[in-house]
Amino acid sequence: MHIPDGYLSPGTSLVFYAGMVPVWYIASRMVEKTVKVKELPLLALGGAFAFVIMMFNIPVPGGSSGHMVGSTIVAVVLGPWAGVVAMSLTLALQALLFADGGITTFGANSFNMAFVASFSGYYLYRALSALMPNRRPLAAGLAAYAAINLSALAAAMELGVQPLIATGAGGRPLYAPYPLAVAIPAMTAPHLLFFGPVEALGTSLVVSYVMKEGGLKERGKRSGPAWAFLVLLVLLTPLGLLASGSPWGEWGRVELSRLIGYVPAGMERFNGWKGVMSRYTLPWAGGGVEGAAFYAFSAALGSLCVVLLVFLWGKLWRR
Amino acid sequence: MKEEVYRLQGVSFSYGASLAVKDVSFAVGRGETLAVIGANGSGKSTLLKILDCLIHPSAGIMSFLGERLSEETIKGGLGRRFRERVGFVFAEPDVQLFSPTVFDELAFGPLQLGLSGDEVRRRCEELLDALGISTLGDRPPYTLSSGEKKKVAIASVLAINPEVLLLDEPTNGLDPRAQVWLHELIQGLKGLKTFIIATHDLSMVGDLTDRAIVLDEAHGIAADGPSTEILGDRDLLLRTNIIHEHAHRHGDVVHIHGHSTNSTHDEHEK
Amino acid sequence: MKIPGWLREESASGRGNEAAFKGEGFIDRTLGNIASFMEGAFDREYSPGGVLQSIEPRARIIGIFFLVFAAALAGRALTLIAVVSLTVVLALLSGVRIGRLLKRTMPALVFTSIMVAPISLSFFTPGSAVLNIGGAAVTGEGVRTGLFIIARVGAMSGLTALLMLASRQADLFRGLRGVVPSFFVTALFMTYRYVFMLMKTAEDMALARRSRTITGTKLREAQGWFASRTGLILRKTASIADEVTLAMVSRGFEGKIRTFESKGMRGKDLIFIGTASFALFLSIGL
Repeated sequence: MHIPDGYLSPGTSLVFYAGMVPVWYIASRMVEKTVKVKELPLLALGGAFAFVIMMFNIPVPGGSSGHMVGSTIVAVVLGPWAGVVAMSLTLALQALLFADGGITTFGANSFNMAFVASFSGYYLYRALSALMPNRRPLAAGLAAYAAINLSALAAAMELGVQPLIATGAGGRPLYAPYPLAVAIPAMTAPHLLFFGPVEALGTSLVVSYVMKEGGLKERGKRSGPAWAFLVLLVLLTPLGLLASGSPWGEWGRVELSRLIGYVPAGMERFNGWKGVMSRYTLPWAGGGVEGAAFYAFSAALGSLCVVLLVFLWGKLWRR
Repeated sequence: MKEEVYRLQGVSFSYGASLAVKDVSFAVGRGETLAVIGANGSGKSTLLKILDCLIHPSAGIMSFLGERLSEETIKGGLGRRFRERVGFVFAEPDVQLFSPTVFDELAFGPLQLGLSGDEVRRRCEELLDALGISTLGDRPPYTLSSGEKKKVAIASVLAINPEVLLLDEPTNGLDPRAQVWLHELIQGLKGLKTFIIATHDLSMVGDLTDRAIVLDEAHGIAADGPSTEILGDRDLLLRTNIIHEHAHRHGDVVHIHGHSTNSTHDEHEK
Repeated sequence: MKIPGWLREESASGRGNEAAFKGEGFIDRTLGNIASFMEGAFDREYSPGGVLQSIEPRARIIGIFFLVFAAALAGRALTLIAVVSLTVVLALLSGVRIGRLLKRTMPALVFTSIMVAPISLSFFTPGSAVLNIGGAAVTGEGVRTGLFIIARVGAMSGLTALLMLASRQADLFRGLRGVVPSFFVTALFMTYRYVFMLMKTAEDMALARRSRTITGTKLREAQGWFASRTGLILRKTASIADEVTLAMVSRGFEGKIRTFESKGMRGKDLIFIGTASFALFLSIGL
């Protein structure tokens, strides 16, 4: 489910970074409050655990085996906010050092596998284990199944909207090329049928083992406020609308923006640029040598500003 | 006795329902080298963590240089002064090495305690040089051998220049050469620093320490006296399960004698 | 100590049979995963004397990220070719062998090639057919679309790979510290560091199982094995976390990491950032 670099348009990437920055910030503050100020190593080790758990292949009926992501376990053990940070650390490590996922898509991957999966997994687990207090492993398994599928759905959405929001000459896709009608089934079917059950199985196995052996306390804040789950549902509603709205693939950009309501201005503008380029004319007026020179000049001016900013920032940083 | 560094009165500690340290009282003078010996699970490590104020006694009073040590005072003004004066070398070097390079590892303590960058750099370079590990400076700590890891862990604590050094099982997992290195280091600093060493390596107790405290399996103090006396008391050592009767075969003769339990170091979780 | 009689006897052979290894594929796959992780982690020859290596880590990261974004923005093949060429030139100047660069880029390229292959069919991309396979036609437009996406993925992952190959890990984390809040960088490094420790434990567990498994195993037992090992690793995780916290507190950590103040950037570093941002600005319009 790790989306590599180059699959999402810069606009999409930026939107998810912008969305995740406050989440990371709040998460780091929440962790300081709810866990303890000095629990930095716990987060790091939570991340390391998730990383290692992905290495384990779980045997499933039929002689096959698959690996899990572990977001739900980490969220159940550490609490959802710490879970978000721990999973993001895992993803950052995978993207940077092991070329699994990407740098520009790190925001989106964190949204799917850290944010969506941790919160939905955690609160579903709390809600379900309140309903069936004696069958917590089952509750954890079901929560993990839902969480992994929700994050797969989120990833499918992100990939599937690419042909709608960023196209080049003659409408040819520039990033992930398949429309929602293809991306959603292609992404969700394996998760509904294979990875979801593996995740559910792995999670409930671990939870039942930990419960049986005891010795590991859940570190997250105890209260499972129902309102937080509601907030999560509200947050996920746009995704739900996308999933159940109009027939696949017939969305225009207008309808998409009406549905989501917040197609960012940057993304629109970005399309504008691509639109100009699509006519195979250079984007600056008139073209020709002067135009090119003018364009190069403004690019040079821009990079001079960047250098100046970095220089000043370095000066400030030192103090 | 010289100036008192530590004084413990009736200190106890329990993990949940299980008692780990029971009603322990003793004092440590400046410049002493004190061994804490006892069987696995007798509470040596826990006692050291209490002495480093990492965990707090559930009962009893502990003072450091005349000041009362508690969860409250360590969070207040005492905390910084205490951390500058007391260094703790963990049994497992891996938990102590978490920085990108050996140099950063050495710098971590002094930097947290607010020393200036230049001062810290100078200190780390001198220390690497003095301990003969200057070639390791740029290496990531997790790529080191276990002996090197131990050296770096000790160096990272020495970098703070503490007055008191708490060493938890320092010879565990060390090859003979590294053990010699450690003996020489402690010998060199003996008298200048106060050492409290938790160990079940009896050769270390005899060679390096002046005084020994024996913890029994009920987690209390079974004996407290000069190291030579303690090591001479075979019954005490047998009773506290520090040595055990051991069948040995020399040719055709089987004879029974006391033997330290230190031959392996299997008490760490697998 | 009394040794049981059977333990003194020679071990019996021939009781298990070769075919009985069936069902242990998940162990091999787990070990395979761990092996490829270790290879990925250690498969780097850091060569010190190159151009990229001489750039201050912070500037190196910022500059490469600018180039990655340039590749992300590119709307034409020409821009992507320029970025790829720049990557190759930088690699050569930095003493990073192209083979190694390719090796790290390969997984993403292979995956993407498979993923985009259907886009070349007329079903997805209408256009002039260049090849007919059964009922489906491969269109020129489709092929171009697919190649373009592959080129972009290659350019972007190639740049990331170059950054990794031209940086010592310590430099990388030091550089990140200038870009990301140090809370996260420290946590990230510690994650990295303890992944190794836990990974070693996991490997030992899997190897121990493989060495003991003689006859085929039942699914339930195999799943129980997974559960108990994961539970153990989880508990080990928690106990290491506690110890590490204490070890940090013992050395004066109070919740906020203090580090060396970073050195200022030199002219060379600023020039590198400037050049990279120039490429980024150029790519916006190209």
